[in-house]
Amino acid sequence: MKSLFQGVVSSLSIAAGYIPIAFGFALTAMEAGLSPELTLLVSIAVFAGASQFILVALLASGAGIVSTLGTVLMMNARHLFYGPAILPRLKAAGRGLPTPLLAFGLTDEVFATASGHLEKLTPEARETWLLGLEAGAYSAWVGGTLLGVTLGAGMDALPPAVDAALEFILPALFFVLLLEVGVRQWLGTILTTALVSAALMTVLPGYHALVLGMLAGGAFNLLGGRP
Amino acid sequence: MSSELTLTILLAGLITFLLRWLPFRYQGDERKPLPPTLQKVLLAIGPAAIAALLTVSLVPMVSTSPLGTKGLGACAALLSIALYKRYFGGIALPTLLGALVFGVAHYFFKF
Repeated sequence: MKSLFQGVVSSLSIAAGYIPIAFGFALTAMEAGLSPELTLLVSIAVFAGASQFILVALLASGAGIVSTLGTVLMMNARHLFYGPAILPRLKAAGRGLPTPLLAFGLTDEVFATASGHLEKLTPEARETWLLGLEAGAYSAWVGGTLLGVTLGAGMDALPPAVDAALEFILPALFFVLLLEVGVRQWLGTILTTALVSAALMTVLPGYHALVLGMLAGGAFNLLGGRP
Repeated sequence: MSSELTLTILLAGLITFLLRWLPFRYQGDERKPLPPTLQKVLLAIGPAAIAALLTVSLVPMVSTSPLGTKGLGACAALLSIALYKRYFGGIALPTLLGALVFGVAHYFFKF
């Protein structure tokens, strides 16, 4: 129970970013014509930030079910690598929790936080800590969406400076998480990833550049990076 | 129309869940250990994923004026995060500080 609670506490950093972004997602979805109920369903069922915005945009534009789902598949393909990267650290003390439960909440931010933190925990505590982290993050995401569908309809547009601050929350969180995992020890991987992703963004959609940049950074580690 | 939307949303949720769960399920089989090469790649996937997410979220924001006020605002925000984290640690507060600095920069420079 203690590690579960610690996981929830660790999720507060993610919640700080999730609540305003989920709130913004709710406003965007309703502006695009989705009902409050469907808006909430997207957050409950999908639980994947950027692809939710794209999903709503495609639904609003009348895109077909096949192209919509194909886009979601491509955008979230990077999640294929998260489980294999996390699992060895969970296996250390044997596994007890059902894998669907652990896998459901494996978002970018949960994975990034877990990557930097799991090694610091005793093996026995890792699974329940991860479950607490995911539960806290999921509650924040769904809660932020619920706030948005409840309060958003009557709100005027936010001041531009507040909009700008909200826009920067995710990059800020990713930068903080990068500092958590250690820039110096992963410098080669980080630089390779950043350069490849930035270069590919000039010719590819962001979610393709993200996956390929990430794989390039992973491949860099084969060239004499960390064992 | 609403039932088609509901079905699309539920299928999108199922696809996302399967992308996260199937590798767990496959790799959970103890008789199939991963090759050392793949293990080395996966070890770096965490930092690489974070770096890619940062790049992909930051580049579109500042690409219109990388050396202008928006780029400088982003630099000031990232610097404030790095300084705060060096002396005080944590994750939530430096994140909010970075967002605040960027919002303040926007207020004064109107980018």
